[in-house]
Amino acid sequence: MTRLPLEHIRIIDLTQAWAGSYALQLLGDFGAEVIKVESRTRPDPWRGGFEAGRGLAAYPVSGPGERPYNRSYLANSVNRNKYGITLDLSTGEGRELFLDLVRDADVVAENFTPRVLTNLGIGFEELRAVQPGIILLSMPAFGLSGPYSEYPGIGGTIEPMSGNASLLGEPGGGAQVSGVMYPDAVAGLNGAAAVLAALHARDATGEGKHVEVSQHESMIAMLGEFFAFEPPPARLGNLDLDVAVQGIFPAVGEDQWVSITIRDDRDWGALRGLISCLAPLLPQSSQCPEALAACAAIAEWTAERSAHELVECLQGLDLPAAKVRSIAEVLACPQLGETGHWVHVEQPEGIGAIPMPGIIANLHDTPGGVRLPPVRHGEHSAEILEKRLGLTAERIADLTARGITGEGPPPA
Amino acid sequence: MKLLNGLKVVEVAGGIKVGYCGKLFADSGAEVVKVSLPDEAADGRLRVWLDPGKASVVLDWRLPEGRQLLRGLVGTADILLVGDAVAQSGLAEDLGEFPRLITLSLTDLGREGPFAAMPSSDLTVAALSGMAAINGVAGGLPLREPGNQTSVVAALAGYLGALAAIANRSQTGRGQAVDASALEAMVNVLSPSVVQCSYQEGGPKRREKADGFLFDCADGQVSIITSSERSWETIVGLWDLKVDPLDPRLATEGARRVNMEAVRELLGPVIMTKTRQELFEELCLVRVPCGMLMRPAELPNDSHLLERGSFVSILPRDGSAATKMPGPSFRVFGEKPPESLPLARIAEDTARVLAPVARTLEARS
Repeated sequence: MTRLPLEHIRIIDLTQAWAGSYALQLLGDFGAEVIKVESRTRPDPWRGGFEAGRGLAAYPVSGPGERPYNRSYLANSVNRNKYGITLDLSTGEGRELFLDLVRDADVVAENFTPRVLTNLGIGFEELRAVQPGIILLSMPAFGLSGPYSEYPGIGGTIEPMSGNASLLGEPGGGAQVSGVMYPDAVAGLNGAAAVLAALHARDATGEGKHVEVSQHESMIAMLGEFFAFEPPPARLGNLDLDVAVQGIFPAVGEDQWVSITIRDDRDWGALRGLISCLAPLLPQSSQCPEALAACAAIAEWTAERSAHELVECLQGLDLPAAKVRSIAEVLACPQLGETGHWVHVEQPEGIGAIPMPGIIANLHDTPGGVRLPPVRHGEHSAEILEKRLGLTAERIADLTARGITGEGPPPA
Repeated sequence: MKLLNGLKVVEVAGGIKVGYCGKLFADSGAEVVKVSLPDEAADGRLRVWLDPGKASVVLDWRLPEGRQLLRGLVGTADILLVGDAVAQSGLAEDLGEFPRLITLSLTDLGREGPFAAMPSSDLTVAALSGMAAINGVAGGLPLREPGNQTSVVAALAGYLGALAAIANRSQTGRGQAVDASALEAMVNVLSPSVVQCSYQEGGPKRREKADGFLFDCADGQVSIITSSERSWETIVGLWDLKVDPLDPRLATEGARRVNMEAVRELLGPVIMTKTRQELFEELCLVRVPCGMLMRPAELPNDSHLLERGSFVSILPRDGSAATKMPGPSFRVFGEKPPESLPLARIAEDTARVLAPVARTLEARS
């Protein structure tokens, strides 16, 4: 069997919701062994609560079923390639078992506010006492220091705080937030990278590290190009700071759109061959009156044609153009289909196999892969306690009966 | 000591994807040598964003002598980083005879497949990946994220792939080729929406109202997450709001999420009396997520970001004015980012970097 690039790495995952869970899924995709640790009293909020319809309930059309917490598409989209255990970290026994797991781990990851780990007695120093080479990844909303550090934050509040929402929207229109809690995914990418960078440093020095990803800062970093302007520009819609003519334009049919980018004089000449009323010279900047007039003329032209016809015609002239695909249409994208990007992953509780995005980067000799379906709540609790920590069946049964471990809601 | 000290990256030929990926390596302490062609246009604004902390070498690697020097330089590196045009030129394969080298190629749409040769831009990727289709208002214009964010996401994906290959090399001693595309990376970022399509008919669409959970307040706008039971009960208690217990629009988390107008009607009068900062502090202190709508220009002076040293002064060595830019996306706890970073003049490091390479080549011949 081909080696997986991170198969020598063992990670204990305390994260919840999107950002943290996604970071660890990315590392699991590259072969790291990830053990997701949850609670039997407060499951990952992306599971939607133990009862159907509570919290962020997001079930398949077949309904919530007997164990709705295993059927939420949110949790199941970012928790593949993981093992699952529950431990009540507020008890001495739960904490000891957790530290036993850390003894032969490389990484612990969490995305709570800074005081939570300290209050549980499993801060960096406690972890380092049992595993000197441990890497702790913390992903609080606003970082581990500074006046906002103990404040809660989620994608929908990080987006305005980072400047993204003030820039997202049509010119002259109001600020908007993204269609999804996008800063979570951005923080996830950075969290995974932070772990790998810290592992590289540990290879050189043997020392563990406490690395932090502020979701706030990682989103601000996405907007770097806007800070190089003085003062930074206002909302641009789909216009670009470096491309004079660009936009998303209407096509015939309901909610049909195409994107068009004019990169240079050659592209402009090709487009003028199709739309004769365009001025001879490419406008100088995306916000000048000539560029706005050009966009209006392009929109008039596209509105009379189908998206398919437009894309065929424009791409035939070597112009960057594409149909705006709904997410459902992305699943039928020939590029992603023919290159084998999708992986069909069995979902928990009989939901069946569905296409999921493949591995985020392609390592040619040691590619990643999907080995485990999205993990059910506490799915491997007994197995991990027995095989990893050597607990007897009787001890596991006792811990389960007392709600310190097990699957699903705590015993009545 | 920074996390990637000891790693050397050679970045060949521009573009935002490659430039930003090189910046990620430089931010974490890798030595990054950016190799530009003599006739390559240098956009000053993009350089301030992408090139601080990198060495600048100008070399015409299209010529045989230049190609030989580049091969010699790459032979001293851990990672060779190339973009669409160079990936298609075969340069990476031509230079890839070093067993420990990791060659990272970044493209918009992929190196193979039916779209590989298609002309593209950041907006093309936003359109094809589904991102544009879910941003904006129902029935209105689909929107990309501001700026070239699909390129930045591709850079992050490539960075992850290259670091995974470095981790693999630490066990096997062997490098390899790695590639990432902006399209695949964006689809990965949108995993919850992609999975939603298979669980629920139709999948996600643009929301009905542009402002979502943004509320007007005394001096601007704030976002307040009002839907969760705990947040809702806290807000109602904090502001002593009179909620009709029989109003179905406000009865459950799901109902509040789709009936934002009813939520606005109830909360609006209170919110309008308070400033962004007052609402942010008041609500966050009771654990209700709230965010101030900030313009980028406000951020370098934000008290929290100032205390964390989140912005870095970029000091161009050509003497032009300094610019405050966002610092690294992650850090070692307790270590602040540098207060300033130099921006090399174009070609400033050519002789320093290439002279030892030339000497080695000469000695070998």
